[in-house]
Amino acid sequence: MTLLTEQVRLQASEQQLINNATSYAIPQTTFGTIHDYGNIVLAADSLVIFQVAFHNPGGGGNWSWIRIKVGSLYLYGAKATDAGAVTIGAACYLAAGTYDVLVEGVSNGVAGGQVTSLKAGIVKFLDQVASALQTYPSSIALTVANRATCVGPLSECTFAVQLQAQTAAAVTNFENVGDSLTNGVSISVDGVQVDWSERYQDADSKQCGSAKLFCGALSVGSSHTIAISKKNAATTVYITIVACPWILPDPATFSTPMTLNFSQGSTFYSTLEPMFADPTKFIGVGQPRAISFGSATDYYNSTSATGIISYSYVFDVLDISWNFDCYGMGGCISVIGVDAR
Amino acid sequence: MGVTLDGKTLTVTGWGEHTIDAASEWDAWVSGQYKRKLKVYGIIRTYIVDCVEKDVVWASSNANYFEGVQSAGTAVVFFSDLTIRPVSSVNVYVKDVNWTAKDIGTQNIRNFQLTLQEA
Repeated sequence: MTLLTEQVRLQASEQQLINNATSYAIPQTTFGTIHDYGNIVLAADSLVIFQVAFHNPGGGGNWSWIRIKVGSLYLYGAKATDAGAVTIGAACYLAAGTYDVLVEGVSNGVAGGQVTSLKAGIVKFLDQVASALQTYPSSIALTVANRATCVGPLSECTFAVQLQAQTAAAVTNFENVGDSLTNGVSISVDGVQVDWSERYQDADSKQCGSAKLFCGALSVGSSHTIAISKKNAATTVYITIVACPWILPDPATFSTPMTLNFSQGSTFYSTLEPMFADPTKFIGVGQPRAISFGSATDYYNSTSATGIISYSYVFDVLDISWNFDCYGMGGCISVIGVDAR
Repeated sequence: MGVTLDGKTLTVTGWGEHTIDAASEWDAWVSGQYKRKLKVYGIIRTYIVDCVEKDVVWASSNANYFEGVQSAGTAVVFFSDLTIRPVSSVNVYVKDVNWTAKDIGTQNIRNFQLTLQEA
């Protein structure tokens, strides 16, 4: 009958802000600025993604810490404990304005640590709502409005939370469910504590700890509240949140962005691709059953890969009510479509 | 304000409109019975607007102008505050321009019909 597609990642709005391949040495003993990458200028409120690699001086108990500062606020921190490069990435919503971007850090007295290949750019999706990077004020509630897409109404979205936390002259730890850690910082969604998707515990008191939560399967059309709890009132927490159906969640909470609604016999299309990282991304038609025997039997058809996934499935025999699931923290959906029969 | 298309005021003498669906049909077996299912993806709305102009040279004619819009293929803004059919600024394509005139006496009247499809 017709081919209907929708570009949900708005490539025309994309913009590279920083692409600096130069390597900069990490201070060996004194914590400080590794490199000031200069200003980024945002004409409008924007979702800015970052990626940077850093090298640990080597194994054998050596480590390096870095953190990314955007304007006067901190976005992300990470620790490398193994030899070789660690590549990290983050999504950060920023209000219109000018922000200086710099990377700070230190290693444990060993030469050879380097920060390299810092990249930053603006991405934009349909249906994105966000809370800009700020010092955590109190719980933050966001609502992604429901709407009709070309393949059916929106169903679920991902809340992408990026957190950086510091406790002066002390450690900071990010608590999963059941943890009880010194200067613990935990996160809850709609009043229920959940595990972090990624966490770098600041066990060395370097003020570089960070965590992220990419929680999927949150319904659109209703408000969801992210709340942070900290055991030490002196712990400073920086937070930014983006809620969007097209940002892929971590595998623990895979998401169903739309409720498929098209004619039986049609072909469903979806393109998955990297955003601030190129993780293994998954998309499959089906769902975990009453008793799951694993992904191979939960899904009638699925694809799992890095890079760009151009997925299609013909709903010839299978009813469209089976729908589909997807995940891949760091990646996104860029195009959806249906070749309606 | 009346009726305007791409900012040009039209003297409207008649109005028509029709919609068709963009849909797929398929066979289904439901509760022990054969059914013919229909999924409507949307509708295509078309306006047919009859207009008239008097004592207007061809170079200044709306019919002439909208032939140009049709040729360019660009969407233009259509507005109406007529009681019979208000339209609040929708984008339309000019799909057809059809005009007639009789070269009799000194009437110099040009009747034209515009077929507009919502963009």
